[in-house]
Amino acid sequence: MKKWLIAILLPFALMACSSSQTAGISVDSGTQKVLFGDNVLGYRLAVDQINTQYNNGLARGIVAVTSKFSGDQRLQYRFYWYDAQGLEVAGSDSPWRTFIIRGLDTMSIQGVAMKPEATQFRVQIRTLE
Amino acid sequence: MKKSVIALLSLAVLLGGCSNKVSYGDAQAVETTTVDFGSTDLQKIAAEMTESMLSSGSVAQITQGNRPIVFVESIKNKTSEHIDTESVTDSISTKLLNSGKFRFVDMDRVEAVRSQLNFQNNDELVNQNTAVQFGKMVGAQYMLYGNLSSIVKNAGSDKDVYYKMTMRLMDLETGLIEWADETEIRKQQEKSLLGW
Repeated sequence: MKKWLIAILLPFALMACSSSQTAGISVDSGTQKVLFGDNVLGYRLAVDQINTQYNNGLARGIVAVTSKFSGDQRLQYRFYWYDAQGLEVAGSDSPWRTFIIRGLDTMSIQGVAMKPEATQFRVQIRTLE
Repeated sequence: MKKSVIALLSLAVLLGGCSNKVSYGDAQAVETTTVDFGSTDLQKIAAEMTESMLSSGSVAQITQGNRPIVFVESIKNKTSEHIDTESVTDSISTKLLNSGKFRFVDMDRVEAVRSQLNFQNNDELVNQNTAVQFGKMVGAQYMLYGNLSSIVKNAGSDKDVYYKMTMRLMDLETGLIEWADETEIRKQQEKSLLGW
């Protein structure tokens, strides 16, 4: 009888534990620093390059990432844009975008600033829950 | 005794499932409630189209030194769903306008403008020195338009949806297409036999 009770209650106990990690990886173009807030994602994903290009007076951020994991990873990223003083540029809110990186593959994620005053960016990468 | 404990516990679990909770979410978050066209698709299309247009070389040429006037034609919805395409064009034109590279004319509000100008120019209440004159509006040089199409496939309870958005910028004087790009979205839905 006790076993039944445990069997019934176990799924509910497990459900309570499923709050996911949201720290992720933060990539800063100004300082060229990568901050790993998520250990699992840090082991599975490496940031190779952080570049800023100028097209038509607008900054374009390119971040190259490599998977260190042999399976597919479903991730999401978002660009935040800052001006020369380090203040966030108004109206620079871009949506979270999903991407799939295949096992041990390298790809680049890109974002274009919507305003000419944006010069630096920060990319936040998280797992897609 | 034990039966009553189990009954009590299961009752508590059942009743716990009935509580109604309202909370605010992140408007920019990835939304996967159903496989239909959703907010994430709209945001992705709007962001990718504006980024592509603003960083294109030919657009750089026509925006050099001046801010071209653009008229946004509606996006044709060729999908099997009902999609508010005006909302997509609104997002795109707002982003383009905020970039400071383009200026827009709005054809949807022409009747409202006309009635306001009629009032200003023909009504005795308005001081004629302050009335806005007829025939001073600026004509558009470019037209922005597009198509949204989809391919939907079903296999049993699995569903695969593919959206393709094509946008073009046409020079109204010469008819030349100055810029064009497409965005694709693929979504899959699998219904499993077990589980929620």
